[in-house]
Amino acid sequence: MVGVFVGLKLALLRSSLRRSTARAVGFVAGTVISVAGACYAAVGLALGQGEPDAPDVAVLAFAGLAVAWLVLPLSFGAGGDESSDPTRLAVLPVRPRRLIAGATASALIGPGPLCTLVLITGAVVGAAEGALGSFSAALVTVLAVPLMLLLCVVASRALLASFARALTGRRGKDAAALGGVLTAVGGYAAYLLLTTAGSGLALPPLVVRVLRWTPPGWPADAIRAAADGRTATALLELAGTAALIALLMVWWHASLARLMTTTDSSTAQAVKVRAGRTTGLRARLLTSSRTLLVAHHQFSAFARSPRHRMTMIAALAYALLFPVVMAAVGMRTPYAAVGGAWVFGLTVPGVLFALDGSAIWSNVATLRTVAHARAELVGRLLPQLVVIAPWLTAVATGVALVSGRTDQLAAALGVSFALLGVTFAMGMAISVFHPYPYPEDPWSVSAPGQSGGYHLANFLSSILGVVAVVPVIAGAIALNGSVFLWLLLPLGTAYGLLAVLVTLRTMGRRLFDKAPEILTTLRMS
Amino acid sequence: MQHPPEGDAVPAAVEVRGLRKEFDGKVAVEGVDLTIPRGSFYGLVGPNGAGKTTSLSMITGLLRPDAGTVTVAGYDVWQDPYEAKHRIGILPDGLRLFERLSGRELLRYTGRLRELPAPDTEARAEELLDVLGLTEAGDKLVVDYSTGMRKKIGLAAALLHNPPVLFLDEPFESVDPVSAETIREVLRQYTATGSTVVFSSHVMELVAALCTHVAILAKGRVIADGTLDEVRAGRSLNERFMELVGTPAGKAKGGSLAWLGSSSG
Ligand SMILES: Nc1ncnc2c1ncn2[C@@H]1O[C@H](COP(=O)(O)OP(=O)(O)OP(=O)(O)O)[C@@H](O)[C@H]1O
Ligand SMILES: [Mg+2]
Repeated sequence: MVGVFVGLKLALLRSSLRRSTARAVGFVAGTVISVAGACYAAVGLALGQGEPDAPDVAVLAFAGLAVAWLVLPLSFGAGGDESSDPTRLAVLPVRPRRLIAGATASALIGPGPLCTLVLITGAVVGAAEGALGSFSAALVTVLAVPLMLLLCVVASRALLASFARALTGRRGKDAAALGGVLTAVGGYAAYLLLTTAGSGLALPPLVVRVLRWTPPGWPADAIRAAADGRTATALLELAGTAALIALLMVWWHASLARLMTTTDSSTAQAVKVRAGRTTGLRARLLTSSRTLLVAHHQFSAFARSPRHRMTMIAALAYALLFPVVMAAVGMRTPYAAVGGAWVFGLTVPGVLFALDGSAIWSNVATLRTVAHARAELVGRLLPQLVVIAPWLTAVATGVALVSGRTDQLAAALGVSFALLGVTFAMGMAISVFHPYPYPEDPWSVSAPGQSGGYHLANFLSSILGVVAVVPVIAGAIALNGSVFLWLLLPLGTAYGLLAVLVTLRTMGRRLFDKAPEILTTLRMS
Repeated sequence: MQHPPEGDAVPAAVEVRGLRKEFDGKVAVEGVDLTIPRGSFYGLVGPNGAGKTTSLSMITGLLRPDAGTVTVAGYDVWQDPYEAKHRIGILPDGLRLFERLSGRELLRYTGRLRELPAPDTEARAEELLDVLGLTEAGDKLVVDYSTGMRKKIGLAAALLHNPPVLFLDEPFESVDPVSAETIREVLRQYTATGSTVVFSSHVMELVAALCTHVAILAKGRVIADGTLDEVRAGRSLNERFMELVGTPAGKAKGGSLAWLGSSSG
């Protein structure tokens, strides 16, 4: 069964990459970049060997990895891995143990697990001082690596399976609540990462001591225990990890069994949508302006799709949490709102046609002028803009008032708006040049690497976005302390607007010319 | 209005010349020529993978052809989309609908994209929902629709702006017999006023009963086309189809699959 699953996953990956060169390039580039990053971090961790706090760093690294594995797939769908879908094998008579073994094996394939393995190895090497002194210590050290990897992967899959209904369910009533929880956890993880990255190990020892008692801390602590000669403790900790993995597998299987044999409970009572009045001003506006029509449509699509609603809520929450975390580490300034704008760019604008997928054929079929094409682009940006711009303004104002730096408020907003504009401009260009369908179903087998491409596009655009607003940032530095600092608000806003307008001109034209090709790409999902 | 006049004097509703499409070096449509007279009920039949969906996508402006031209109601679909798209109604196959709209909202959205006046959209949408038996499901999300209901709401969306030419890819697939009869009646009425329907189907009896004209596609080529009587040449359409595209059923008779059916478990 393991062989079947692994073979299936590899075959799917190969055929999906073969269907599109752009996707293959995106997948390979994404893999290379993330593995390179992981190697860099791993070497850093490994070089810590011998430092007094190296074992604590390993504990922190393991905890961070575990949190990332739990949170990231939930907030971003299956995180670029939609290829292993055990529910599709529901019709085959497969015993639970073999099913889970096979599913685990196929879950271990991919860039994510590879990066994790690299990081774990780095952290273990860092903590392994004296571990080669005895056979039992060496054995514990070597065993800790696969156990930790399994713990991450299995816990992530088990959680994803048990929340699959909430994430893909037609109502997704739990999803919003879940979004709140994830955001809090994610924010805390960010806080941990920032404080450790910023100042060596600024965490109070208590936190490390607590983390050591959490499951991801067990294999990390086992290494130190073994090196210290406390072999019984070490073995107990490893056995605990293994037992936990087994329990998670049981939970995973139970969730899968439920997924296979029950339908989405929210369909038991189908959703009825009240169709509002359609004469009057709203109807006239929507009929007369294609931009407003597309925007209205996009907005309700966002509001009704639990996953996208959650992404949006999470992005808003991160935009709020970022300044809070920054304040906690001592950066008390409204400029922190710029970070919020950046995080937003990282998660939301994405690819404009991703949400609709091949359903945009009806827009393509009615795309009669270049003006229509521009309306498609602007309409898809508007709903996000009207949500995020006031939100950033409120956050920046709040931070300015609390920190007493109201003098920097206008400039902070100017830089934020410039960044937002550039982010949206980039989103338009990417959507038109490299449209990606966003898999509606995170379990879909069809296209591994696809949502990886989606996130990679977002990531690259947010990096480029920062480069593109360098002039505005330079302006903020140059005018710092001067009475003309407020000028940055109109200038930055104009800069962002200009970026959008210039891109809109060229991309509208290109969308008009290439709409059928874009549809063909989206059709491949 | 008036009945479709006979003969060549009338300009064709759809002219397709030398249409061609390759996917990764594999030819899917290989030089299709079609002349579809105005007011005709035109059936497109052919085995799976013959290129029906690919051809219809290229004819309606959803898939760019590698070569060839398409004129609909006198306008080149790929040179003059402004005029052509206005005159085309489409029910595609294998493309998604907006899952998170209700059926009624989907029609409303389509009407607005088509720039119809709001009151017209409302009135037509209600009538279409009523005729197609979707009134009750009108406020349900499309994501909760059955396969047949999807076909019906797609058909309603295609009819909404009353286009002179309608392209339907397998409109009767999964549709129940009562609804199918309704759809047939709607389409008959529609072509009787001079509008044109082009549709693909696998149900020969249906095509023979409905169509004035038929084209048989196989391996990306038109192997027979003309009026129904010309194509069927005195036999039933089904017999003629089997004769033209060959009968792999013979293989099943000749001893392969011998293991099938003698259940031992
Ligand atoms: N996007 C695509 N990429 C690659 N090949 C394709 C694509 N779309 C269609 N094809 C191929 O083109 C050929 C024609 O397919 P098409 O869908 O037009 O057939 P069809 O006549 O509609 O068949 P059916 O009766 O099953 O609907 C098939 O061989 C199919 O595999
Ligand atoms: Mg087809």
